[in-house]
Amino acid sequence: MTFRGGNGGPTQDLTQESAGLPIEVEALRLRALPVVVGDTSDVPPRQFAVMAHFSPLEEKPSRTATVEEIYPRLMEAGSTLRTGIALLGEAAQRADAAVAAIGDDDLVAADIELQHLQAVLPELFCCRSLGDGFGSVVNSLQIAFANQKGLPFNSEQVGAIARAVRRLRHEPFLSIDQAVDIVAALEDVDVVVEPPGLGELADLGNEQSLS
Amino acid sequence: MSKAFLDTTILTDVLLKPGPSACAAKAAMARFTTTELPVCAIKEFKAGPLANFVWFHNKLVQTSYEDALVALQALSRTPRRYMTSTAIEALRFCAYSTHQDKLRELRLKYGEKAEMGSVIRDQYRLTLKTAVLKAWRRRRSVTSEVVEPLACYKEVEPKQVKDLLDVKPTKCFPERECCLAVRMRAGIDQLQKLKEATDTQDPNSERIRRSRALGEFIRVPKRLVTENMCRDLGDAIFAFLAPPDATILTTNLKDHGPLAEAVGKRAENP
Repeated sequence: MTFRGGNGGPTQDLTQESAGLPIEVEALRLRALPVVVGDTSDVPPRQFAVMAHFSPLEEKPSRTATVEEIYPRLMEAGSTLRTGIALLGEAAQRADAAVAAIGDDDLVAADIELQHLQAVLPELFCCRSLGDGFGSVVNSLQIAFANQKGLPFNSEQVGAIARAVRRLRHEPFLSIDQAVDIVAALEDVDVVVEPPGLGELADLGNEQSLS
Repeated sequence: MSKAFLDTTILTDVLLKPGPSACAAKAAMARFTTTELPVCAIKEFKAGPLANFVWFHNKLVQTSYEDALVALQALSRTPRRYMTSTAIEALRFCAYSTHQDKLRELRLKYGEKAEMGSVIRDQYRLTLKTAVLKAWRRRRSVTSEVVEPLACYKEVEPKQVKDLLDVKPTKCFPERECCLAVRMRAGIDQLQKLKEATDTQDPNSERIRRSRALGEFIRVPKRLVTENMCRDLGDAIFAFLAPPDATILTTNLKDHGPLAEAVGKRAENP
Protein backbone atom coordinates (compact mmCIF):
# COMPACT_ATOMS: atom_id res chain seq x y z
CA MET A 1 0.00 0.00 0.00
CA THR A 2 1.31 3.41 -0.92
CA PHE A 3 0.38 6.85 0.35
CA ARG A 4 1.71 9.82 -1.48
CA GLY A 5 2.19 12.85 0.74
CA GLY A 6 0.80 16.26 -0.10
CA ASN A 7 2.91 18.89 -1.86
CA GLY A 8 4.70 16.14 -3.73
CA GLY A 9 5.93 14.72 -0.45
CA PRO A 10 7.67 11.40 -0.21
CA THR A 11 5.82 8.23 -1.00
CA GLN A 12 5.46 5.89 1.93
CA ASP A 13 5.14 2.17 1.63
CA LEU A 14 3.03 1.36 4.68
CA THR A 15 3.22 -2.33 4.01
CA GLN A 16 6.91 -2.33 4.83
CA GLU A 17 6.86 0.36 7.46
CA SER A 18 4.13 -1.23 9.54
CA ALA A 19 5.95 -4.51 10.06
CA GLY A 20 6.05 -5.27 13.77
CA LEU A 21 3.59 -2.56 14.77
CA PRO A 22 0.82 -3.16 17.34
CA ILE A 23 -2.37 -4.88 16.29
CA GLU A 24 -4.34 -1.64 15.80
CA VAL A 25 -1.81 -0.37 13.32
CA GLU A 26 -1.64 -3.76 11.70
CA ALA A 27 -5.41 -3.55 11.27
CA LEU A 28 -4.98 -0.15 9.69
CA ARG A 29 -2.49 -1.63 7.30
CA LEU A 30 -4.89 -4.33 6.22
CA ARG A 31 -8.07 -2.33 6.13
CA ALA A 32 -6.94 1.08 5.06
CA LEU A 33 -7.80 2.43 1.67
CA PRO A 34 -6.00 1.35 -1.46
CA VAL A 35 -3.54 3.51 -3.33
CA VAL A 36 -3.89 7.24 -2.81
CA VAL A 37 -2.35 9.12 -5.68
CA GLY A 38 -2.84 12.42 -7.42
CA ASP A 39 -2.20 16.06 -6.76
CA THR A 40 -3.22 16.63 -3.20
CA SER A 41 -1.34 19.89 -2.94
CA ASP A 42 -4.17 21.57 -1.09
CA VAL A 43 -4.16 18.89 1.60
CA PRO A 44 -1.68 19.52 4.41
CA PRO A 45 0.86 16.71 4.68
CA ARG A 46 0.46 14.18 7.49
CA GLN A 47 -3.30 14.60 7.58
CA PHE A 48 -3.66 11.34 5.71
CA ALA A 49 -2.63 9.47 8.84
CA VAL A 50 -5.95 9.64 10.69
CA MET A 51 -8.67 8.86 8.27
CA ALA A 52 -11.09 6.63 10.10
CA HIS A 53 -11.36 4.38 13.08
CA PHE A 54 -10.32 0.85 12.28
CA SER A 55 -11.54 -1.98 14.46
CA PRO A 56 -9.25 -4.86 15.42
CA LEU A 57 -8.72 -7.55 12.84
CA GLU A 58 -10.89 -10.20 14.44
CA GLU A 59 -14.05 -8.05 14.30
CA LYS A 60 -16.14 -8.53 11.21
CA PRO A 61 -17.26 -5.27 9.60
CA SER A 62 -20.95 -4.74 10.26
CA ARG A 63 -21.55 -2.31 7.41
CA THR A 64 -19.86 -0.53 4.53
CA ALA A 65 -18.40 2.87 5.38
CA THR A 66 -19.67 5.85 3.45
CA VAL A 67 -17.32 7.91 1.32
CA GLU A 68 -17.71 10.80 3.77
CA GLU A 69 -16.66 8.53 6.63
CA ILE A 70 -13.69 7.18 4.74
CA TYR A 71 -12.29 10.58 3.93
CA PRO A 72 -13.30 12.74 6.93
CA ARG A 73 -9.96 14.39 7.55
CA LEU A 74 -9.20 14.87 3.92
CA MET A 75 -12.65 16.33 3.49
CA GLU A 76 -11.95 18.88 6.18
CA ALA A 77 -8.59 19.76 4.77
CA GLY A 78 -9.02 19.65 1.02
CA SER A 79 -11.62 21.89 -0.48
CA THR A 80 -11.07 20.32 -3.89
CA LEU A 81 -11.68 16.84 -2.58
CA ARG A 82 -14.66 18.02 -0.56
CA THR A 83 -16.18 19.66 -3.62
CA GLY A 84 -15.31 16.68 -5.78
CA ILE A 85 -16.90 14.17 -3.45
CA ALA A 86 -20.00 16.32 -3.04
CA LEU A 87 -20.40 16.75 -6.79
CA LEU A 88 -19.79 13.06 -7.37
CA GLY A 89 -22.47 12.32 -4.79
CA GLU A 90 -24.89 14.40 -6.78
CA ALA A 91 -23.75 12.83 -10.05
CA ALA A 92 -24.08 9.31 -8.61
CA GLN A 93 -27.60 10.04 -7.41
CA ARG A 94 -28.53 11.28 -10.86
CA ALA A 95 -26.93 8.28 -12.52
CA ASP A 96 -28.72 5.85 -10.21
CA ALA A 97 -32.00 7.64 -10.80
CA ALA A 98 -31.42 7.37 -14.55
CA VAL A 99 -30.81 3.63 -14.23
CA ALA A 100 -33.98 3.28 -12.17
CA ALA A 101 -35.98 5.32 -14.69
CA ILE A 102 -34.77 3.11 -17.52
CA GLY A 103 -35.85 0.10 -15.48
CA ASP A 104 -39.29 1.68 -15.37
CA ASP A 105 -39.17 2.26 -19.12
CA ASP A 106 -39.35 6.00 -18.53
CA LEU A 107 -36.78 7.18 -21.06
CA VAL A 108 -37.63 10.84 -20.66
CA ALA A 109 -37.10 10.74 -16.91
CA ALA A 110 -33.80 8.90 -17.46
CA ASP A 111 -32.62 11.53 -19.89
CA ILE A 112 -33.57 14.33 -17.55
CA GLU A 113 -31.44 12.75 -14.83
CA LEU A 114 -28.54 12.48 -17.26
CA GLN A 115 -28.97 16.12 -18.24
CA HIS A 116 -28.43 17.01 -14.59
CA LEU A 117 -25.44 14.69 -14.40
CA GLN A 118 -23.96 16.35 -17.49
CA ALA A 119 -24.43 19.77 -15.90
CA VAL A 120 -22.22 18.74 -12.96
CA LEU A 121 -19.32 17.61 -15.14
CA PRO A 122 -17.72 21.01 -15.96
CA GLU A 123 -17.40 21.79 -12.27
CA LEU A 124 -16.14 18.29 -11.55
CA PHE A 125 -13.48 18.84 -14.18
CA CYS A 126 -12.33 21.88 -12.21
CA CYS A 127 -11.41 19.38 -9.46
CA ARG A 128 -8.97 17.59 -11.78
CA SER A 129 -6.05 18.43 -9.50
CA LEU A 130 -7.17 15.32 -7.59
CA GLY A 131 -5.27 13.38 -10.21
CA ASP A 132 -5.12 12.40 -13.84
CA GLY A 133 -7.19 9.30 -13.13
CA PHE A 134 -10.01 11.46 -11.83
CA GLY A 135 -9.59 13.97 -14.65
CA SER A 136 -9.52 11.26 -17.27
CA VAL A 137 -12.85 9.72 -16.23
CA VAL A 138 -14.62 13.08 -15.90
CA ASN A 139 -13.18 14.22 -19.22
CA SER A 140 -14.30 11.04 -20.98
CA LEU A 141 -17.82 11.51 -19.64
CA GLN A 142 -17.90 15.14 -20.79
CA ILE A 143 -16.80 14.17 -24.29
CA ALA A 144 -19.22 11.25 -24.34
CA PHE A 145 -22.13 13.61 -23.64
CA ALA A 146 -20.91 16.08 -26.25
CA ASN A 147 -20.61 13.27 -28.81
CA GLN A 148 -24.22 12.27 -28.19
CA LYS A 149 -25.34 15.71 -29.40
CA GLY A 150 -28.44 15.49 -27.25
CA LEU A 151 -29.39 11.94 -28.23
CA PRO A 152 -30.22 9.72 -25.25
CA PHE A 153 -27.86 6.93 -24.19
CA ASN A 154 -29.21 3.39 -24.28
CA SER A 155 -29.76 1.35 -21.11
CA GLU A 156 -26.40 -0.42 -21.28
CA GLN A 157 -24.63 2.87 -21.71
CA VAL A 158 -26.48 4.47 -18.83
CA GLY A 159 -25.50 1.52 -16.66
CA ALA A 160 -21.85 1.92 -17.64
CA ILE A 161 -21.96 5.66 -16.94
CA ALA A 162 -23.51 5.02 -13.52
CA ARG A 163 -20.80 2.47 -12.69
CA ALA A 164 -18.11 4.91 -13.77
CA VAL A 165 -19.48 7.68 -11.57
CA ARG A 166 -19.91 5.40 -8.56
CA ARG A 167 -16.40 4.00 -8.92
CA LEU A 168 -14.97 7.49 -9.13
CA ARG A 169 -16.87 8.53 -6.03
CA HIS A 170 -15.44 5.61 -4.09
CA GLU A 171 -11.95 6.04 -5.47
CA PRO A 172 -11.43 9.70 -6.35
CA PHE A 173 -7.66 9.19 -6.26
CA LEU A 174 -7.73 6.32 -8.70
CA SER A 175 -4.69 5.88 -10.90
CA ILE A 176 -4.62 6.60 -14.61
CA ASP A 177 -4.45 2.86 -15.26
CA GLN A 178 -7.63 2.33 -13.25
CA ALA A 179 -9.20 5.22 -15.14
CA VAL A 180 -8.29 3.53 -18.42
CA ASP A 181 -10.23 0.45 -17.23
CA ILE A 182 -13.31 2.59 -16.62
CA VAL A 183 -13.00 4.40 -19.94
CA ALA A 184 -12.52 1.08 -21.74
CA ALA A 185 -15.69 -0.23 -20.06
CA LEU A 186 -17.57 2.79 -21.42
CA GLU A 187 -16.21 2.10 -24.89
CA ASP A 188 -17.22 -1.54 -24.60
CA VAL A 189 -20.86 -0.40 -24.68
CA ASP A 190 -20.17 1.98 -27.58
CA VAL A 191 -19.94 5.19 -25.59
CA VAL A 192 -17.67 7.42 -27.70
CA VAL A 193 -15.19 9.02 -25.33
CA GLU A 194 -12.90 10.74 -27.79
CA PRO A 195 -13.56 13.87 -29.85
CA PRO A 196 -14.13 13.38 -33.58
CA GLY A 197 -11.01 13.97 -35.62
CA LEU A 198 -8.63 13.05 -32.83
CA GLY A 199 -7.41 10.01 -34.74
CA GLU A 200 -6.05 12.18 -37.52
CA LEU A 201 -3.17 13.03 -35.23
CA ALA A 202 -2.03 9.48 -35.82
CA ASP A 203 -1.16 10.35 -39.40
CA LEU A 204 1.04 13.34 -38.66
CA GLY A 205 4.14 11.18 -39.00
CA ASN A 206 3.11 10.27 -42.50
CA GLU A 207 2.89 13.94 -43.38
CA GLN A 208 6.39 14.57 -42.18
CA SER A 209 7.82 11.71 -44.17
CA LEU A 210 5.88 12.74 -47.25
CA SER A 211 7.10 16.29 -46.95
CA MET B 1 -11.06 -20.89 -43.86
CA SER B 2 -10.12 -17.27 -44.55
CA LYS B 3 -7.29 -15.38 -42.95
CA ALA B 4 -6.54 -11.67 -42.66
CA PHE B 5 -3.05 -10.34 -42.07
CA LEU B 6 -3.26 -6.82 -40.63
CA ASP B 7 -0.95 -3.99 -41.43
CA THR B 8 -0.27 -0.95 -39.24
CA THR B 9 -2.99 1.21 -40.77
CA ILE B 10 -5.75 -1.18 -39.69
CA LEU B 11 -4.30 -1.52 -36.20
CA THR B 12 -4.23 2.27 -35.98
CA ASP B 13 -7.81 2.59 -37.19
CA VAL B 14 -9.04 0.15 -34.58
CA LEU B 15 -7.03 1.55 -31.70
CA LEU B 16 -6.80 5.28 -32.31
CA LYS B 17 -9.58 6.24 -34.69
CA PRO B 18 -12.93 5.58 -33.05
CA GLY B 19 -15.90 6.14 -35.30
CA PRO B 20 -16.21 5.29 -39.00
CA SER B 21 -12.56 4.20 -39.44
CA ALA B 22 -12.63 1.77 -36.53
CA CYS B 23 -16.05 0.45 -37.55
CA ALA B 24 -14.93 -0.19 -41.12
CA ALA B 25 -11.77 -1.94 -39.94
CA LYS B 26 -13.68 -4.15 -37.49
CA ALA B 27 -16.31 -5.00 -40.08
CA ALA B 28 -13.60 -6.01 -42.53
CA MET B 29 -11.89 -8.19 -39.93
CA ALA B 30 -15.19 -9.86 -39.12
CA ARG B 31 -15.32 -11.21 -42.68
CA PHE B 32 -12.39 -13.50 -41.94
CA THR B 33 -12.26 -16.69 -39.91
CA THR B 34 -8.94 -15.76 -38.36
CA THR B 35 -7.11 -12.47 -38.10
CA GLU B 36 -3.37 -12.20 -37.60
CA LEU B 37 -1.33 -9.28 -36.40
CA PRO B 38 2.41 -9.40 -37.04
CA VAL B 39 4.58 -7.90 -34.31
CA CYS B 40 6.17 -5.59 -36.89
CA ALA B 41 2.77 -3.83 -37.08
CA ILE B 42 2.90 -3.25 -33.33
CA LYS B 43 6.43 -1.89 -33.70
CA GLU B 44 5.42 0.48 -36.48
CA PHE B 45 2.30 1.50 -34.60
CA LYS B 46 4.30 2.48 -31.55
CA ALA B 47 6.97 4.33 -33.48
CA GLY B 48 4.47 6.18 -35.68
CA PRO B 49 0.82 6.83 -34.75
CA LEU B 50 1.22 6.26 -31.03
CA ALA B 51 4.34 8.43 -30.93
CA ASN B 52 2.36 11.23 -32.63
CA PHE B 53 -0.24 11.10 -29.89
CA VAL B 54 2.53 11.18 -27.30
CA TRP B 55 4.21 14.10 -29.08
CA PHE B 56 1.09 16.23 -28.88
CA HIS B 57 0.31 15.11 -25.34
CA ASN B 58 3.75 16.22 -24.21
CA LYS B 59 3.39 19.48 -26.13
CA LEU B 60 0.24 20.19 -24.14
CA VAL B 61 2.03 19.38 -20.89
CA GLN B 62 4.89 21.73 -21.62
CA THR B 63 3.22 24.64 -23.39
CA SER B 64 -0.01 26.52 -23.37
CA TYR B 65 -2.98 25.43 -25.43
CA GLU B 66 -2.24 28.25 -27.88
CA ASP B 67 1.43 27.28 -28.31
CA ALA B 68 0.49 23.64 -28.79
CA LEU B 69 -1.89 24.72 -31.52
CA VAL B 70 0.87 26.71 -33.23
CA ALA B 71 3.09 23.61 -33.14
CA LEU B 72 0.31 21.54 -34.64
CA GLN B 73 -0.39 24.16 -37.28
CA ALA B 74 3.28 24.19 -38.21
CA LEU B 75 2.73 20.64 -39.41
CA SER B 76 -0.15 21.90 -41.50
CA ARG B 77 2.31 23.21 -44.05
CA THR B 78 2.56 19.75 -45.49
CA PRO B 79 0.87 18.02 -48.40
CA ARG B 80 -1.76 16.46 -46.12
CA ARG B 81 -2.65 19.55 -44.18
CA TYR B 82 -6.34 18.77 -44.10
CA MET B 83 -5.59 16.03 -41.59
CA THR B 84 -3.97 18.46 -39.23
CA SER B 85 -6.94 20.73 -39.66
CA THR B 86 -9.18 17.86 -38.59
CA ALA B 87 -7.06 17.37 -35.50
CA ILE B 88 -7.41 21.05 -34.74
CA GLU B 89 -11.15 20.68 -35.16
CA ALA B 90 -11.01 18.04 -32.44
CA LEU B 91 -9.48 20.63 -30.15
CA ARG B 92 -12.30 23.01 -30.92
CA PHE B 93 -14.78 20.24 -30.18
CA CYS B 94 -13.26 19.94 -26.71
CA ALA B 95 -13.80 23.64 -26.27
CA TYR B 96 -17.45 23.42 -27.21
CA SER B 97 -18.08 20.50 -24.88
CA THR B 98 -17.87 23.02 -22.05
CA HIS B 99 -20.05 26.09 -22.32
CA GLN B 100 -18.23 29.38 -21.99
CA ASP B 101 -20.93 30.87 -19.76
CA LYS B 102 -20.59 28.01 -17.33
CA LEU B 103 -16.82 28.44 -17.25
CA ARG B 104 -17.13 32.16 -16.56
CA GLU B 105 -19.20 31.30 -13.52
CA LEU B 106 -16.78 28.60 -12.39
CA ARG B 107 -13.79 30.91 -12.79
CA LEU B 108 -14.92 32.87 -9.75
CA LYS B 109 -14.65 29.73 -7.65
CA TYR B 110 -11.80 27.79 -9.28
CA GLY B 111 -9.63 30.48 -10.85
CA GLU B 112 -7.09 29.21 -13.38
CA LYS B 113 -8.55 25.68 -13.38
CA ALA B 114 -11.67 27.10 -15.03
CA GLU B 115 -9.86 29.25 -17.62
CA MET B 116 -10.90 28.20 -21.11
CA GLY B 117 -7.31 27.62 -22.27
CA SER B 118 -6.49 25.51 -19.24
CA VAL B 119 -9.69 23.48 -19.55
CA ILE B 120 -9.22 22.72 -23.25
CA ARG B 121 -5.55 21.93 -22.77
CA ASP B 122 -6.29 19.45 -19.99
CA GLN B 123 -9.25 17.96 -21.80
CA TYR B 124 -7.12 17.21 -24.82
CA ARG B 125 -4.09 16.17 -22.76
CA LEU B 126 -6.13 13.69 -20.72
CA THR B 127 -7.90 12.39 -23.82
CA LEU B 128 -4.54 11.70 -25.45
CA LYS B 129 -3.02 10.16 -22.36
CA THR B 130 -5.98 7.83 -21.90
CA ALA B 131 -6.00 6.97 -25.61
CA VAL B 132 -2.30 6.09 -25.61
CA LEU B 133 -2.48 3.83 -22.57
CA LYS B 134 -5.73 2.23 -23.72
CA ALA B 135 -4.42 1.58 -27.21
CA TRP B 136 -1.24 -0.02 -25.95
CA ARG B 137 -3.16 -2.23 -23.56
CA ARG B 138 -5.50 -3.39 -26.33
CA ARG B 139 -2.93 -3.91 -29.07
CA ARG B 140 -2.75 -7.68 -28.71
CA SER B 141 -6.48 -8.22 -28.42
CA VAL B 142 -7.41 -6.65 -31.76
CA THR B 143 -6.89 -9.89 -33.71
CA SER B 144 -7.41 -13.55 -32.99
CA GLU B 145 -3.64 -14.12 -33.14
CA VAL B 146 -0.42 -12.16 -32.84
CA VAL B 147 2.15 -13.69 -35.16
CA GLU B 148 5.68 -13.27 -36.46
CA PRO B 149 7.37 -12.34 -33.19
CA LEU B 150 10.55 -10.31 -33.56
CA ALA B 151 13.30 -11.63 -31.35
CA CYS B 152 15.14 -8.31 -31.41
CA TYR B 153 12.11 -6.16 -30.48
CA LYS B 154 10.77 -5.72 -26.98
CA GLU B 155 7.21 -4.48 -26.50
CA VAL B 156 7.87 -1.98 -23.74
CA GLU B 157 4.83 -0.18 -22.36
CA PRO B 158 4.73 3.62 -22.74
CA LYS B 159 5.68 5.10 -19.41
CA GLN B 160 5.20 8.33 -17.54
CA VAL B 161 8.30 10.37 -16.85
CA LYS B 162 7.23 13.22 -14.60
CA ASP B 163 4.13 14.43 -16.43
CA LEU B 164 5.37 13.42 -19.86
CA LEU B 165 4.73 10.20 -21.72
CA ASP B 166 7.69 8.29 -23.12
CA VAL B 167 7.27 5.72 -25.91
CA LYS B 168 10.89 4.69 -26.19
CA PRO B 169 12.21 2.19 -27.11
CA THR B 170 10.61 2.21 -30.54
CA LYS B 171 13.46 0.43 -32.29
CA CYS B 172 14.74 -3.13 -32.35
CA PHE B 173 17.99 -3.96 -30.66
CA PRO B 174 19.48 -6.79 -32.70
CA GLU B 175 22.45 -8.54 -31.14
CA ARG B 176 24.27 -8.99 -34.43
CA GLU B 177 21.72 -8.31 -37.12
CA CYS B 178 17.96 -8.14 -37.70
CA CYS B 179 16.19 -11.34 -36.62
CA LEU B 180 14.51 -11.55 -40.04
CA ALA B 181 17.82 -11.69 -41.93
CA VAL B 182 17.93 -15.49 -42.23
CA ARG B 183 14.43 -15.62 -43.69
CA MET B 184 15.24 -12.77 -46.03
CA ARG B 185 18.28 -14.63 -47.36
CA ALA B 186 16.09 -17.65 -48.01
CA GLY B 187 13.61 -15.49 -49.91
CA ILE B 188 15.85 -13.43 -52.19
CA ASP B 189 13.63 -14.17 -55.19
CA GLN B 190 10.64 -12.65 -53.37
CA LEU B 191 12.68 -9.62 -52.37
CA GLN B 192 13.67 -9.15 -55.99
CA LYS B 193 10.00 -9.10 -57.00
CA LEU B 194 9.21 -6.65 -54.20
CA LYS B 195 11.98 -4.33 -55.42
CA GLU B 196 10.67 -4.47 -58.99
CA ALA B 197 7.17 -3.64 -57.77
CA THR B 198 8.51 -0.75 -55.69
CA ASP B 199 10.44 0.65 -58.64
CA THR B 200 7.34 0.74 -60.82
CA GLN B 201 5.55 3.03 -58.36
CA ASP B 202 5.86 6.82 -58.32
CA PRO B 203 8.89 7.58 -56.20
CA ASN B 204 8.48 9.21 -52.80
CA SER B 205 10.89 9.22 -49.88
CA GLU B 206 9.48 6.02 -48.40
CA ARG B 207 9.61 4.09 -51.68
CA ILE B 208 13.09 5.36 -52.47
CA ARG B 209 14.35 4.12 -49.10
CA ARG B 210 12.61 0.78 -49.58
CA SER B 211 14.05 0.28 -53.05
CA ARG B 212 17.53 1.16 -51.81
CA ALA B 213 17.32 -1.23 -48.84
CA LEU B 214 16.03 -4.07 -51.03
CA GLY B 215 18.64 -3.39 -53.69
CA GLU B 216 21.53 -3.40 -51.22
CA PHE B 217 20.39 -6.67 -49.69
CA ILE B 218 19.83 -8.38 -53.03
CA ARG B 219 23.27 -7.29 -54.25
CA VAL B 220 25.11 -8.55 -51.16
CA PRO B 221 22.89 -11.04 -49.31
CA LYS B 222 25.65 -11.85 -46.87
CA ARG B 223 25.86 -8.33 -45.52
CA LEU B 224 24.48 -7.77 -42.04
CA VAL B 225 20.88 -6.54 -41.95
CA THR B 226 20.75 -3.53 -39.65
CA GLU B 227 17.77 -2.10 -37.82
CA ASN B 228 17.69 0.82 -40.25
CA MET B 229 17.62 -1.49 -43.26
CA CYS B 230 14.80 -3.51 -41.78
CA ARG B 231 12.84 -0.34 -41.04
CA ASP B 232 13.40 0.99 -44.55
CA LEU B 233 11.79 -2.12 -46.01
CA GLY B 234 8.54 -0.68 -44.65
CA ASP B 235 5.44 -2.10 -46.30
CA ALA B 236 7.47 -4.70 -48.19
CA ILE B 237 7.98 -6.63 -44.98
CA PHE B 238 4.22 -7.22 -44.70
CA ALA B 239 4.02 -8.66 -48.20
CA PHE B 240 7.08 -10.77 -47.42
CA LEU B 241 5.79 -12.13 -44.10
CA ALA B 242 2.09 -12.59 -44.94
CA PRO B 243 1.11 -16.26 -45.30
CA PRO B 244 0.30 -17.21 -48.91
CA ASP B 245 -3.32 -17.96 -47.99
CA ALA B 246 -3.84 -14.67 -46.18
CA THR B 247 -5.27 -11.36 -47.33
CA ILE B 248 -3.33 -8.29 -46.24
CA LEU B 249 -5.85 -5.87 -44.76
CA THR B 250 -4.76 -2.26 -45.18
CA THR B 251 -6.10 1.21 -45.86
CA ASN B 252 -2.91 1.87 -47.83
CA LEU B 253 -3.76 -0.23 -50.85
CA LYS B 254 -1.73 2.08 -53.06
CA ASP B 255 1.49 0.76 -51.52
CA HIS B 256 0.47 -2.70 -50.36
CA GLY B 257 -1.51 -3.68 -53.47
CA PRO B 258 1.39 -3.84 -55.96
CA LEU B 259 3.75 -5.35 -53.38
CA ALA B 260 1.35 -8.15 -52.46
CA GLU B 261 0.54 -8.84 -56.08
CA ALA B 262 4.24 -9.09 -56.94
CA VAL B 263 4.67 -12.05 -54.61
CA GLY B 264 1.36 -13.73 -55.47
CA LYS B 265 -0.55 -12.48 -52.43
CA ARG B 266 -3.64 -10.33 -51.97
CA ALA B 267 -4.19 -6.97 -50.31
CA GLU B 268 -7.60 -5.49 -49.57
CA ASN B 269 -9.10 -2.29 -48.26
CA PRO B 270 -11.59 -2.65 -45.40
